[in-house]
Amino acid sequence: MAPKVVVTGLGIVTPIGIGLNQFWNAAIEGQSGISKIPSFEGLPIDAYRSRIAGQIHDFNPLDYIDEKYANRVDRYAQFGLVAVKEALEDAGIDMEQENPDRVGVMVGAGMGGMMMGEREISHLYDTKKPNRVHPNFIPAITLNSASGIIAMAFGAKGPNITISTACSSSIHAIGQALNTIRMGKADMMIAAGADASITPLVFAGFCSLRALSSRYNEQPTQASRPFDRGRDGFVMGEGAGALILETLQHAKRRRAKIYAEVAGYASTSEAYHMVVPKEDGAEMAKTMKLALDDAQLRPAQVDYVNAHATSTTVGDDVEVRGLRHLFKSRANKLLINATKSLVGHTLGAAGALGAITSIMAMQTGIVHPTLNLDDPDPECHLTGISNQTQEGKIKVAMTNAFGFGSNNGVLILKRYSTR
Amino acid sequence: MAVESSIGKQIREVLATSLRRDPSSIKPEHSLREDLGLDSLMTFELLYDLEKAFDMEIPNDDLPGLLTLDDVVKYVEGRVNPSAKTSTPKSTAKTPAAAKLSKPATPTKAKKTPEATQAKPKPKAKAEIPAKEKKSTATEKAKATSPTTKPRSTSASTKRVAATTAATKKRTAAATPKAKKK
Repeated sequence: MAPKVVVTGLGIVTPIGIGLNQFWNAAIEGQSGISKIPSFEGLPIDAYRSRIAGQIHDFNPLDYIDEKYANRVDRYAQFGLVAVKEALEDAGIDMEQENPDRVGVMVGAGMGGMMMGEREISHLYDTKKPNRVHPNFIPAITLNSASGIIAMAFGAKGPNITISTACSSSIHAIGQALNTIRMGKADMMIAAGADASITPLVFAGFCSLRALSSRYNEQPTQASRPFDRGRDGFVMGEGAGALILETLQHAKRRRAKIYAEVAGYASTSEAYHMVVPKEDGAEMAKTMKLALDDAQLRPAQVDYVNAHATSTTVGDDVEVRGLRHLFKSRANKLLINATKSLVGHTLGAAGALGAITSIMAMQTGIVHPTLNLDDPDPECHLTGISNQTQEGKIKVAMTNAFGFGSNNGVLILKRYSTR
Repeated sequence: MAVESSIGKQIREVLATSLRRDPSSIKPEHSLREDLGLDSLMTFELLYDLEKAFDMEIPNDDLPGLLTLDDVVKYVEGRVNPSAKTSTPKSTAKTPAAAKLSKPATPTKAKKTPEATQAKPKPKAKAEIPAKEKKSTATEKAKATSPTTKPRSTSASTKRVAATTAATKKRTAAATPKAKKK
């Protein structure tokens, strides 16, 4: 029988706080991390349709990690390193005491090292000097630079894989970490998600996709408003989240504190459209059901949903349709919130941030407010979505993540109890 | 079909090319989505082509009014030729740019002229949309009457407490006491 897998450490880097305590205090207070983008490497920010984002200002990786690692990688991987470092410390793991071959790394990243990538590409076309392309360009933009540097920095020699499924990347990182442990390929997995691609080209690309909010450029903190009638697109964010997963047995042996059980996970494709979910929400509902089946739980046992809810007109509607489809009348009894209302959409980090938020909600019984839900859109309103802090006993939490490319991922976390 | 403007003809041809169909099979009253089968991504691609060809910006907030080919044509005409509706003197400056439409990939040379006029016509262009916008808000209103609209608090189960005291108490206990950011 597959071993039980638990979470024993959390680490987080977000626009509203670096470190779990800072993030969580800001989250339950309902702080917004969205601000105007101050500059774009010399490009006129006014030429962009959207001019706001959830950026982490004044981030200095050297405050947290050795420059030997920090200077090798792009911003997203630096975020990842910082989050993983905190998670390992939080879990009380001493890698000297672990068999490194049994500790793996699973990272979700949507865009990867785009900061350096864009800089080098434009530099090449400007100078026409191929020999002036930086030698670190390839190692830094390669999408597994984060999972690689994390393994190097912390000495994890087990399975090491990067998953890139756009906005759902890190839900799959956690889910596949769970499965790796279940299959007996590792005793412990560092599961993380990271992205930092608020860069001139990527940002312009999302603007051209008309996916970003453009109505609130002068009121940045009001722009990310999932489920609200006035929503007009998502707000890009950046950050990272990390979770330490290990077998229950392994956690017990080292007397670790246990946050939660990772009970189930499902991954599906809608095989439908590059950027739009199937309108009726049935595919999302199916994925949620599969994740619950994997956890051997029924919809009636779910107390809380950390919604994917990006604040796009279509996406929020479809997700709620999916919830109604699966949960029927119970949909209105669920506690639900949208973490993206606080920090924006951190793409590859979003699933990890959602999972961490779900765990904290379970631990504390507090559900952070969904910011800017001033005028709930009836198309996607459920009674358990509120702009206020809510409270409730949460035993089973569902975290949703849906990505471009018709990709769906759902994670089920369960309160851990000794009996 | 009434007499078609040159802008209308060009837009129809762009659509026909990207949809690989006979231009004459595309009618002004055709809905981009239902009749022509444009999904959101294809619609954005069309707008991208139009923005390039007519050297204009189509703000996201104008999108809800662009449902049929006729909507798009009228919208572009209004933006390119605002004098049709108002007393703004500028009118013909954009035709050279418009002529580029058949080659959507080429950035227009006549950039400067239209750009200068573009800022002004914008609000007027918006004024042409309200008919549709009103319609869509009306449908939203109609939907708003669905039973799910009831106040959040009414069906809140006993275990859910609105913000305030209990939450604040628990919060301080739950998250390690720490200087709050801000």
